[in-house]
Formats: sequence, structure tokens, C-alpha cells
Amino acid sequence: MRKMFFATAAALAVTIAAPARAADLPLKTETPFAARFSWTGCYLGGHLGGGFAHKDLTDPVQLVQDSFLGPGSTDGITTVSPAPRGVVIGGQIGCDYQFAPSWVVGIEGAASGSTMKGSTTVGLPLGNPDTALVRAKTDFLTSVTARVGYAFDNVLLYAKGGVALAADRYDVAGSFADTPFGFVGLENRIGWTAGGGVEWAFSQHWSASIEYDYYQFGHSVIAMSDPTNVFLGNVDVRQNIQVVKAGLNFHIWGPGW
Amino acid sequence: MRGDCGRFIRPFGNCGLFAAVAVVVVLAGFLTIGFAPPVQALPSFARQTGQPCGTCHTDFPALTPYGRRFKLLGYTAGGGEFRTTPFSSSTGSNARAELDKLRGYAKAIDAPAAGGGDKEYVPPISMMAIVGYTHTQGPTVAPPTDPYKANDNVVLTPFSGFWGGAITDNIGAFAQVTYSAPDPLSALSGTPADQFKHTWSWDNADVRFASTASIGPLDLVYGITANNNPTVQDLWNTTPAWSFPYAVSSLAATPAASTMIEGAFAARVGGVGAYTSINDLLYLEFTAYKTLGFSQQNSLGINPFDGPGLFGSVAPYWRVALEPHWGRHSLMVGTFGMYFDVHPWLDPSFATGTTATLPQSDKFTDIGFDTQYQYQGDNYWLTLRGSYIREFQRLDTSFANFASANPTNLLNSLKLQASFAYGGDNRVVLTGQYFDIWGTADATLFGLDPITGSALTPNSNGWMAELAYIPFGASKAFGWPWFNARIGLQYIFYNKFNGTTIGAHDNNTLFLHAWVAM
Repeated sequence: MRKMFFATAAALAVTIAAPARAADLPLKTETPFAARFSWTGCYLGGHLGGGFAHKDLTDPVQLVQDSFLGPGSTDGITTVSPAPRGVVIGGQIGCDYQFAPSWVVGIEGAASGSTMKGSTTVGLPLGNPDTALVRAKTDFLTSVTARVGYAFDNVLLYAKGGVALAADRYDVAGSFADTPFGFVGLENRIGWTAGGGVEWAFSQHWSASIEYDYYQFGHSVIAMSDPTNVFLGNVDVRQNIQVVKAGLNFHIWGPGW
Repeated sequence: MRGDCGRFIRPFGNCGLFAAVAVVVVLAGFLTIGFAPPVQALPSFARQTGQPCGTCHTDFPALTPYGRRFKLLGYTAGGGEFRTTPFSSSTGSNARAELDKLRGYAKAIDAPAAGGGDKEYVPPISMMAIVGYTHTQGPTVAPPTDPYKANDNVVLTPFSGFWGGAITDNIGAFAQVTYSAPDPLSALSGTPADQFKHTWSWDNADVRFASTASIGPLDLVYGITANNNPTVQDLWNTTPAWSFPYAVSSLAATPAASTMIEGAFAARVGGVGAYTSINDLLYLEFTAYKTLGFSQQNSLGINPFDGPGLFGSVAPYWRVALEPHWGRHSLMVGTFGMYFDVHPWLDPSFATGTTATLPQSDKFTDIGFDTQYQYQGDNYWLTLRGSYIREFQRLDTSFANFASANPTNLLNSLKLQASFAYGGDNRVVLTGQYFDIWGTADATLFGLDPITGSALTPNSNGWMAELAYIPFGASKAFGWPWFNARIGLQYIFYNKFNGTTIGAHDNNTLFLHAWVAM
């Protein structure tokens, strides 16, 4: 009887203890849910890159010679093409919306300071003969663009396009028949831009991008003045700019981010 | 409040420095000790919200995050001891309570109880005055100086009355009328145009409708603003209308060149715009302005000939700002700008009796960028601000009429500022700012360098420092919410002034002032 009690107690103990040991066993590891990166939200950031402009100026020779010698003095048409290039650095803010489920649309405003400048020398055959140094500079570039992209989780391929503004300065300086001159023209020119790039969200809040943008500003007439000699004339400038830049954005998702 | 600080004021007499300081101290003491209240920036706002000064202002008129949202919501948030909304409903208040919970910047504004309508109605009217002592390194006022002295003047300017607060649950207003004493004799042109100078004028005005909505994942505050000064409606103290310095001497010379958006058309325009704040993060605004006519400006106390002219077309103003905030930190990065198509006056001297403008116009494109970082410590506020405005001037008509030497000019304005406000009551505020104005040389606009003979630039740069004391900021002692005060000692140092370093230091200005509101 006493043996029977111990056997029963032992069996009960085993019965009770067995589930307890089972509960201590490690559970089967579940595959963690990998949340897709959401591009919905707003961001602000900076960018750094290079800018390459193509500018055709027509006609700096006529500008100088006709100013000194009178209208109609210059035969033919001369176009010079300084090729400004330099660093582009600035910032951008924008907002995106992701839908269906991997398409992304957004709007972005960007502004850059630029060191793009270039110069070329052109002859003035009606002078001694003389030459004029033609300089072109773009120091400010800004745009408001819409973008559409396709997200591969945290990598976004996108294209963008919109309106752009460039601030330019042109100088035509030298001496003509031993008289120094210095024409200056400033302009803010509005055009369009189109481009594309790839953006990689490497953390919940940060992303890096590589982008190419093409800016087309058409052509327009710019008033060039030489206050010292009290000259005023025009040049026609046709220009486009290409920019390659790397960006870094900080993403903000709204309340509770 | 700063809108007409550039006006001259009547001196207290031939007081010396001692007397000047005494007057400022006595006046400040009268208000700070005699009434001993913790006071509000605009007392009518305090009466309406029940909040102490420091809830909305780090140092008035500089805004905290809560202050910006009060303005965003159209000056309509309530919760105070007095009912300042003559027409009430619960709709707007409920929306505001929701927004307030969402923001969490200040204790939630109580939604009016059923008996809320029993509160006593007090019209949201306030007044303010600034009395200051001005000392410049060189003479302040050119002869003939009457009714001022050449230097060391104590003056009272401006003196303003306000309507500041709710009109309905969704409509509020900030509207200012200002008295400015006459100019010194040397500032008069001696032409018939002097007849249009006034002492009383309307000043900053901003009437708003605001409401809230939810569209999908977007929480929106949206509204309409009707105002008379581009950027007066803005929420940040980085745009011109409410930027530092908040009070300046009316007698000391300031740089002659400034961009158009920096007050050239303050109180000379009327504008209506729409704005929205999305998810308490992204602020967007578009407003269209048109100049008031000559007679309208004159009737409102503004000398039209002191302005650049009249718009030929509607002037668009835009504003985009992204303001992320986390914990006690708040960061803003934004842009703003405006396009002006200005027809200059045909005869600003009024010698021919015409108020017409030239048929051609000058075009100004202003593009600004600004940023602000604000941190709320346990007993202090740290604020860093920066702004840059670039103006492209296409001077078609000025150049054609020999008013400028160049057909196009550039003008830039940069401000970098740090401000530290320590304390609740007995708050001490130290603010420093570097400023730089630079642009294209123009012999006609800016003159010739007397030494080199070359065309002068508009360039001016230097530093400002201000130590301010705000006795009442956080508590609600006797007299609240009827009074407020700010005592400031300000110094402006110029490295360059109007294109030259020669004599620039003569314009260095010490300005000791007491600013009281009630």
C-alpha cells in the first residue's frame, strides 16, 4: 500500500511536472514582421553637387563697338559661349504620399547657391584691335517641382519636373581704343526643370539621394549697362544648366513621429 | 507693434542722460511696482486665454510654439476669466480643444462650460507705449533739430491702441492704431508733399478666420487672413514684420536700403490670403496684395509719398514652413517671398499737384529663406534664428527716368540671431544679432564715395545686442491680466553704414526703453 502511494505520487508528480518543463522550452521563433518603409510624410535636407551651364551670348561685340561707334557699326553677328561650372549647394523641403501601394507622388521646393562661373575672350576688330572679356555667372538656382516615383521598400526611383528660377550675372569688360568699359547685366530667369534620381532611406528618418536635373531657360534679352561711360545695350542669352547632386534628407511623419 | 516704430516722437524736453534714465526707471517702476502685476504681451489676449505672458511669448512679441498656434487659430482660443467673444458657439471651441490636446504645448484650453456665456464681456482692447532714451555716437538729428536735440533725446513713440482677440469663435483680429509725433524739421522735404505727413495712422492689422478639419490622415488647421502688411500674419519671428529688434529708436539713423518685403509697403496695402497647417508640421500660405489708392492711404494716416508708389498688378506673397518638433525642441525651416510690380510716383514732391504714377514700372522679386530653433528649458527659452532675403530689382522705369544708374540691381539682407530668455517672472532676455545688407553699387541710388569717386553700394553691417527685463511672465498676481512691461537696453554697432566705413560708427546707437502695454 505504501509502495502504491509512492508510485501514484511519483506518477502524479511526473504528470504535473511534465507540462511545467514543456513551458520552459524555448518557443518556436517567429519570423519578425519587416515593416515596409513608408515614404508618406515630409522631409527637409541639404544637397551638394556640381553644376554645368551652357550659355550663348549674342552679341557682345556689337554691344561694345556700337556703344562706342554708334548703332550699325558692327558687321556680322558674334555669339560667344562661356561655359560656367561650379559647386551647387543648398537645401530642400518637400512632402510625399505613397499609394497603391508602391507609387509615390510628392512636391519639393529646393534652393541652391552656386559658384558656377565661366569666361571667354572675344575680339573687337574695330578697336586697336582690342578684346573683351565676357564673363557669365549663375549664383542662385531654385525650383518647385512635382515628383513621381516607385518605391522598392526603402529605395525610391523617381522622376521630377517643375518650374525653376536662375539668377545670373553677365559682365563684358575691357578697353576699346584705350577707353576702359564695363558692362553689367543681371537677371532672374524663369524656366523649367526635369530630372530624376534614386533615394535610399537608410534609417527610419534619414535618406540619401543621387539626382540629375536639367534646367532649360530658353533665351531672353538682357539689358547691359556701363554706368561709367553711360552706355546701355542688350545681349541675347540662351542658356541651360545641368546639375548632378547628392542629397541628405531628414523625414518627418507628422504627429507622434 | 513695431510697424510704425520708425516714426519720430516728441521729446520730453532737454533732459540729460540722468533725467532720461530716471524717467524710464520711474515709469517702469510705476507699472512694475505700483501695480505689481504679472502682465501679458497684449493684455486683451491674456484676458481671453487666461494664459500668462510666458505661455505665448519668450519675450514679447517673440512667440513660443503655443503663441504661434494661438495666432494660427485666428486669435480665437479662449479659456480666460473674461468672455471676449461677443458672438459665441461651441463649434470652434471644441475644435480648438482638440487641436490643443494634439499639440500638448500648454495646458489644454478648457472648452466653455454650459454657463460659459455668463462670463463678463470685455472688449479685447489694449494700449501700448514705448518711451526711450537715444544716444548715438555722432549727432542723432541733423540741424534744424527742432523739436529735438542733436543727441540724447528721450522720446515717447509709438503710442498705440489695439483690438486684439476674438470676434466670433472662428474669427479674430489684431488691429493697431498708432500715434507718432512729428518729424524733426530737418526731415521735412520743404515741398508741398509735407502736407501729407500725419501723426495718427492705422498700423498693423490682421483679421483671420480659422477652423480645423481632418481629411484622411491629414489634420488641418486652415484659415483666411486679411491684413495690411506682408509677413505681419506670419507665425515666426524670422520674417520682417515681427523680427528683432522689436523696438527701435525712432530718431537714430538706420541703413537706407532694405528689401521691399521688409516693410516698404507696411500699411500701404490690403491683402487676402489662405493658409493651412498640415499635421502641425507643414505650413502653407498664399496671399495676394494690392496697394491702397493715394487718397485711401492718406485717409488712413499714411503719407503715400513716403512709399515707393503703387502696384500695377496684384502682388503675390507665398510662405512655406516645415516645423518639426520633438520633446522640448522645435525647428522651423522655411521660405517666403513676394513679387512687386511698382509704379513710382510721378511727382513725389507734389509740386505739380498730381498724385499720378509713372506708366512704366519697376519689378522686385524677393525670395527669403528662414530658420528657427527653439528649446524650452525648465526655466528658460533658447532661440536661434536666421533669415536671408534676396531681392532682384528690375528698374525699368527708374533707370529710364535717371533715378537709378543701373537697369537691374541686387539687394541682399541677412540676419543671424540668438536669444536666451531666463526666468518666469523677473525674466531676463539677452539677444544678439548680426546683420548684413549688401548689393549692387549704384551711383544714382546710393551716391559716390567722396574719396574714391566710385559708386557706393547699399552695404551696411554690424551687430545688435539687447538686454531686456520683463518683470511679469509666468504667474498671475494682482493686476493680472491688465498690464505688461518690458525694459530694454539695446546697442547697435555698425561696421559699415550705407556703403562706407567712414563715419559708420557715428550711427552706433544706445537705446534704453520701457515698453508698457495695458
